[in-house]
Amino acid sequence: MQKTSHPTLFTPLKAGKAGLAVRRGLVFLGLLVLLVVGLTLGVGQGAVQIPALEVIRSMLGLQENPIITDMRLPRVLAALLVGAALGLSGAAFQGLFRNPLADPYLMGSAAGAAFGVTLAVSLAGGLTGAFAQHAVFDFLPVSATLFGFLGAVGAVFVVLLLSGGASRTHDLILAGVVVGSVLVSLTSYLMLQDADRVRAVFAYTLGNLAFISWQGVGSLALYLLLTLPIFWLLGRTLNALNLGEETARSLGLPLGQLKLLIIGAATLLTAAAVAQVGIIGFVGLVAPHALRRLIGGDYRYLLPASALGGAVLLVFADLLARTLIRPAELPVGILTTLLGGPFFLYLLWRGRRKG
Amino acid sequence: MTGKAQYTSVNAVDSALGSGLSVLGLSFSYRGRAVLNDINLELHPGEWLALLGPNGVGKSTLLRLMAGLLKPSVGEVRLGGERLERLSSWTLGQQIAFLPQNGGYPEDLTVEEVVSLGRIPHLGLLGRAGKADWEAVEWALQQTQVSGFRDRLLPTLSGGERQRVMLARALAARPQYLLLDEPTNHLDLHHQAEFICLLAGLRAQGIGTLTVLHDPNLARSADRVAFLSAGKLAALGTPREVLNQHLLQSAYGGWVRVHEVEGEPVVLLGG
Amino acid sequence: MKRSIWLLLLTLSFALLTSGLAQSFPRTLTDDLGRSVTLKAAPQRIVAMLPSVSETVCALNACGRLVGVDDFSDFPEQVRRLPKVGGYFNPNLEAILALKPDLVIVSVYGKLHEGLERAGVASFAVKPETYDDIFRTTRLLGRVLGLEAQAERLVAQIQREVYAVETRAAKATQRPTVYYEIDPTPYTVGPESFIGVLIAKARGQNIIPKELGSFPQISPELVVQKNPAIIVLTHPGAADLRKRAGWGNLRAVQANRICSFVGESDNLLSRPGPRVAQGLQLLVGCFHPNLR
Repeated sequence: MQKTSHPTLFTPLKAGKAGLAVRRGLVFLGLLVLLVVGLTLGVGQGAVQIPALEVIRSMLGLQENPIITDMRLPRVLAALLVGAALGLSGAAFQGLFRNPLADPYLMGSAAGAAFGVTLAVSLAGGLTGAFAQHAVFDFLPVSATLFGFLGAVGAVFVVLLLSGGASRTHDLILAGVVVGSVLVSLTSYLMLQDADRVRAVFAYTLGNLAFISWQGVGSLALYLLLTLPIFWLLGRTLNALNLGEETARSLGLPLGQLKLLIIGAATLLTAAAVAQVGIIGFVGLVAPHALRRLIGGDYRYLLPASALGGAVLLVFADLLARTLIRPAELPVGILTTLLGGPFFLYLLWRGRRKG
Repeated sequence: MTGKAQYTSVNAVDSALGSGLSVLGLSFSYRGRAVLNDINLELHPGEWLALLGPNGVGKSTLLRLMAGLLKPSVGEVRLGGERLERLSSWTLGQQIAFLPQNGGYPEDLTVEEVVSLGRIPHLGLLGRAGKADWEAVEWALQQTQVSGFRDRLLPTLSGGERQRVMLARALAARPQYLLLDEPTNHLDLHHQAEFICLLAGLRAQGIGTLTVLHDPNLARSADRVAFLSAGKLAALGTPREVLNQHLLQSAYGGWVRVHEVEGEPVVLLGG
Repeated sequence: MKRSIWLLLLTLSFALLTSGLAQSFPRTLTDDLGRSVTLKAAPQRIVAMLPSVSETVCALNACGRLVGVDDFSDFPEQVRRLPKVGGYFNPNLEAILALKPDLVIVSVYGKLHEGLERAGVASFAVKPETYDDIFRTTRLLGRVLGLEAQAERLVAQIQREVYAVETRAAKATQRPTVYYEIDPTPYTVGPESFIGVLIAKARGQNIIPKELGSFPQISPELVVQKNPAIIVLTHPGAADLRKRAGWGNLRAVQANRICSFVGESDNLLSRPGPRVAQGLQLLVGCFHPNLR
């Protein structure tokens, strides 16, 4: 009667509380090591070959090299912050919707951001021209970046309005799909009105870390710092949601407010990330999913692990995007999809074989 | 702890209201449709009360109202004399544990992790689990006999084991009252018997248990049986009193027969 | 003996070839999709779906045969008055059919020709991308229109104009390094692309190595490393360049040698058509402002 097969990727969690703690420790340590390696490689490698000594000297301020200090460093840090933001939001949404296939864009934030940016580009074309096509990639503090942010937050807000608050999770998903589709259509329409800029908008939808500035890194860090305490607060709630919403409520959790808090924090993070670097797929889906299999589903550990995992994933994906065909670049969104897609198929295949 | 079985259209009334988890003159409408009508009922500490009735009669709704998850349209639910609305959600969670019918189970938490979720009413959002919490978890694991696979993941368990784990989760809060919605659903005969046995054992712990049951025969070992029909409490009394052919036929239809086997009523289908 | 047979064969085939060229309609031509297209007569109701094709058809003095153009065709003046039938991404098949064309000249990209085929309307696909494509496409269109002689004259005229500008540029003493940005992704042009060839003819040095292909998306690090003397933009973002991380100290930015070609001047540079010499002139003026 008992099944002997096991849904974990690796050895079954049999070693007990101590064993699980050890495994968690190892995973966290491994992620940190990978992150450090990724950051080091990320700063050391790029389109242009720079000797290691020169890299170190310019990091220490002994030598001036804008490629290191103004381009690679902010870019690598942005990859870290965006990956962490997507990993966190993805994990939170997977917990909220009790669906391991949920991703940070589920409630329409990506479609909203793309619409906002396209709108900004169209308006800019009609207004001053010089204003914003490129602010897509954060040259101006206000403009397309802000439009993307507002688009993402606005889309989620509309989804909440349509589904009458966060109480009915299924309505949220349905409304998210509807709002997302409508926004995608509107975006396509705007793009056709302004076909010259189709490419810039299209490139945005594939994600681009090329022109992230220190200012952009700062704003990403700010949003992450603002929302981290909220996620810290939410671990136990997400655990309880595993039992179903009614049971979670019966445990005393003020679920109405908590769900809004989850959606709010995840949306802020996703919006900040999407507005700065465009739509990067799969990171927010794969990182929590894979780590869940490694360290189990306790969100008090899964949330920070997903943040680290997302950061590692994007730092390496961007490194590959910059170096695989250097000095040309691949859109990083294509790389994350190429890396994430097969991994996901593998999980699917395993799931089917297990069933 | 007495109750008279009444089969008239008048609602049965519990005679000793006030000290336990009590339902007073409760009516509930959903989208303009009356679901429950003037229910009076009390769940006493240390009692096992079975709730029977045909499908869609409002059994689960009554359970949710008693857990404080729904608000009555008319009337009230009181816990130790205090209206549920006046108690904090954490207090409610500490006193009343609720196990829904299809709550689903976490696929990537170990048995122990799931059971310790039951301590949330005591811990709040951020509190750290202390000695008392681990003792309660341990006690719940022992009570339900699942401590042997505390480190296994839920999908690796059989349906019966999983249901015991979910019961342990509910018990871990060390509640005064336990509200279970068809806990034996989807269990085979052996596991049904095992689970019923377990519930009977909880009486000694002073826990009042209200169990919604589908199969009237499973209610035979309960202390009392409440029978809901058409939104009303049609009968309330001992199993012998409630499980009679007249009542069951009026609720389920003419093909229900109640036989007496070794002094106990047995409900059969067909004639 | 053998030699005379070879000579005979050669003259024969040459005769066939030239007669084939001069042969009147119906004629069968191979378009840039590799399809054989048979034209029963010289097309008189033409829809052009590329701006450079509209320009070429008009430069062949056949503007009167155009009955419709794509949304972006805007030169010469007569073209502006023609019905617009959609763009590259959203061609309006019904509007095209309503014009009852006897030939639609389409881009090799997109699926428009399939829709036209189903509707029973002849289409001819062209792919004007490189510098040499300008002349190849002009001659091809000449054969499509039955205007071979005009096409030869037009080719000669374009080459004469380009040569004149090139000769002037050759007087420049320096060959400044140039970074040419199409959009801020950043997309640029390789030396073997149409614009890449124009940059070389205007006596500039493209910083992009030819290994990267015609239209590579590059890393901004490369631009900072190469530190170009001149930046050419065909998008309206000149003011934003100095705000880009690490770009503030580029020679071109410091010296403010940024040429922004948008709108009409962008059209001159982005259309491999009969006005290529004017585009080249723009670049020469940008690279060598003192040359007059």
